[in-house]
Amino acid sequence: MSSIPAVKVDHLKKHFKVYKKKPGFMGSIESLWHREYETVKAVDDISFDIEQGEIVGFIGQNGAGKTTTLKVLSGLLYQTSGSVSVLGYNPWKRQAAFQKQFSLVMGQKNQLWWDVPAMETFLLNQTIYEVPEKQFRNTLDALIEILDVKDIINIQVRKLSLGQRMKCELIASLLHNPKVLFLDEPTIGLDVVMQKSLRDFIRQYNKEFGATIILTSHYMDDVKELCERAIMIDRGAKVFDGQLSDLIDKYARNKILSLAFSKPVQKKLLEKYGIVKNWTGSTATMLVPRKEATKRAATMLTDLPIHDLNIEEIPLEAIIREVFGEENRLHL
Amino acid sequence: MSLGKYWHLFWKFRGIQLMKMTEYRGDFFFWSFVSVLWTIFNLFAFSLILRVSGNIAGWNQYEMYLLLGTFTIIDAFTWSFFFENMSNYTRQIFKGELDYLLTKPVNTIFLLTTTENSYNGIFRLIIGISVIVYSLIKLNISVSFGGVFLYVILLLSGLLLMYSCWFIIATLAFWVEKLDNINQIIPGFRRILQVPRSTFSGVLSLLLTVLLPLSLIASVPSEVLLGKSNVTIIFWLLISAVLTGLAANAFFSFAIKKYSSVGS
Repeated sequence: MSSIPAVKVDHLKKHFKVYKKKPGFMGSIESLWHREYETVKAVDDISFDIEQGEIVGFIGQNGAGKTTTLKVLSGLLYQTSGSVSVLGYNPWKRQAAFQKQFSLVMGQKNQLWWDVPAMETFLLNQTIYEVPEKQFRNTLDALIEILDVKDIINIQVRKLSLGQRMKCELIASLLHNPKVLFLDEPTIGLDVVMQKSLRDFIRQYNKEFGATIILTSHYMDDVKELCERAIMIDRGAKVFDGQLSDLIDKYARNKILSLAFSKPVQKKLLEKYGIVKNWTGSTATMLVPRKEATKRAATMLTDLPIHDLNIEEIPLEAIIREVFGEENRLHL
Repeated sequence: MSLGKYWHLFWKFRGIQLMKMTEYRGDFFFWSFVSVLWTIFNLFAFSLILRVSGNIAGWNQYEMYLLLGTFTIIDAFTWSFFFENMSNYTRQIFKGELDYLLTKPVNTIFLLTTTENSYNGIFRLIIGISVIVYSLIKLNISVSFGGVFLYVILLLSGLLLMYSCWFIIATLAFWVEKLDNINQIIPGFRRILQVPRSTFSGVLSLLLTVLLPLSLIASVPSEVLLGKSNVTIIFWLLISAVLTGLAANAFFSFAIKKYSSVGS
């Protein structure tokens, strides 16, 4: 790994002025001559570095500021204050040398030409990015094979399924072998099989090209499978930056114990070992403090007629919900 | 990126648009038919006026036809090129879809200007050229190669002037949330183009010849073919076209800071 970060964000702020409409018909009439504006702090003083070759997950609720940050990093939005640098370039300057080295993929928007086959967009991007013919063919063949899209690249894009289109979007974005890849919800709307195949592909691309990848996703499986490091954003501010395992350590105070009994066990008896979440008599699910999970499990194995026992970490989704929501905070 | 690459890209877009056109043949034939009708009706309306008045602002029947031929060529570009691209441009601003365009290592204005086109205007273009040739024959004027060259340069300058004005107005879309008829403003002004610049006098002449020289766009190239050109006016058209082009470029660079694409 190089010591120069591929992405450097320093006290980034991006504020928007938005028009606040009063409700109802009269509010609409009033808005014709008088409008009230408010400032929305989409990104508010965020700093982080990302090393070359890292895959980092951007986690946060809708409107947390993830996409805004990616757009500033792509040179699409001009920051209110702070500085950003990608591969040593100021993205806002939108220099061709920089643009040839990164790619932005947005699951909710597309760059493919709708009425013609995806192959036409690929050829167009070859010209736009000035990719030499040999490199273009090699990369295209490799991507077509990995993503298994040989049969669809010559069919009009409008006739393709969402998953097929997303695969073609990825190819269009990767034909110039970008060193930095911003993936904004690349698996949105895809079925689980397609999500898995895209994840496998992203991992493979990262390994093969040593690409730096920032990934935002609502699907925690994407983040869990691809990223070692996560940056969590809430209402424009960074609330966590570190290894995913640290995130679990930091926010998950409990572990889940799943128990199956050979004889029915009373709920009251279980409550002295931890919080009982589910109980049927012959099975139970409990939350026990993380640090004491093994010890308590051992005690329970001795004290109770346990037929089967399983210790698990709290699912990442639940941790995220815990971090962003005030409810149930004590239960994790 | 070299000029050759831009040239290559320009024709690639034309190729893709041709493919799109073949996908929707019915649309192409229908709009071509409508466009031809509009052109013929316009020429017919002027022929009625000329039959009665004999001339407009000192331009006789066939001189007027030549001017209308030039106007028809400009109109073909207006609807087939400018309108298509500017509609796409403002739609992308309103919907926050400029994202992909802005990440490409190609001049954004070039992409905004050349990506789209329709082929509906081809028949209009052919009619325009035919009317010019017919008028020259009727006027018994033979034009030198240099004259044709200058005509083309001035026509392109006029198109640049008109397009730059349109681009500046369309760029205002960055400041409004929605403005459906923003792309109707310049086409609304194009009626000015189909009469000789000498039609306008006083304040109007100052406005449409000096400040916003729209009246020169069709008149000046036509004057070159008719052999009644004015060097000062030719230079003013060339200079104002370049200045407006530079202003459009600068305004876009300023406006793009305003762009705040729609979040997902």
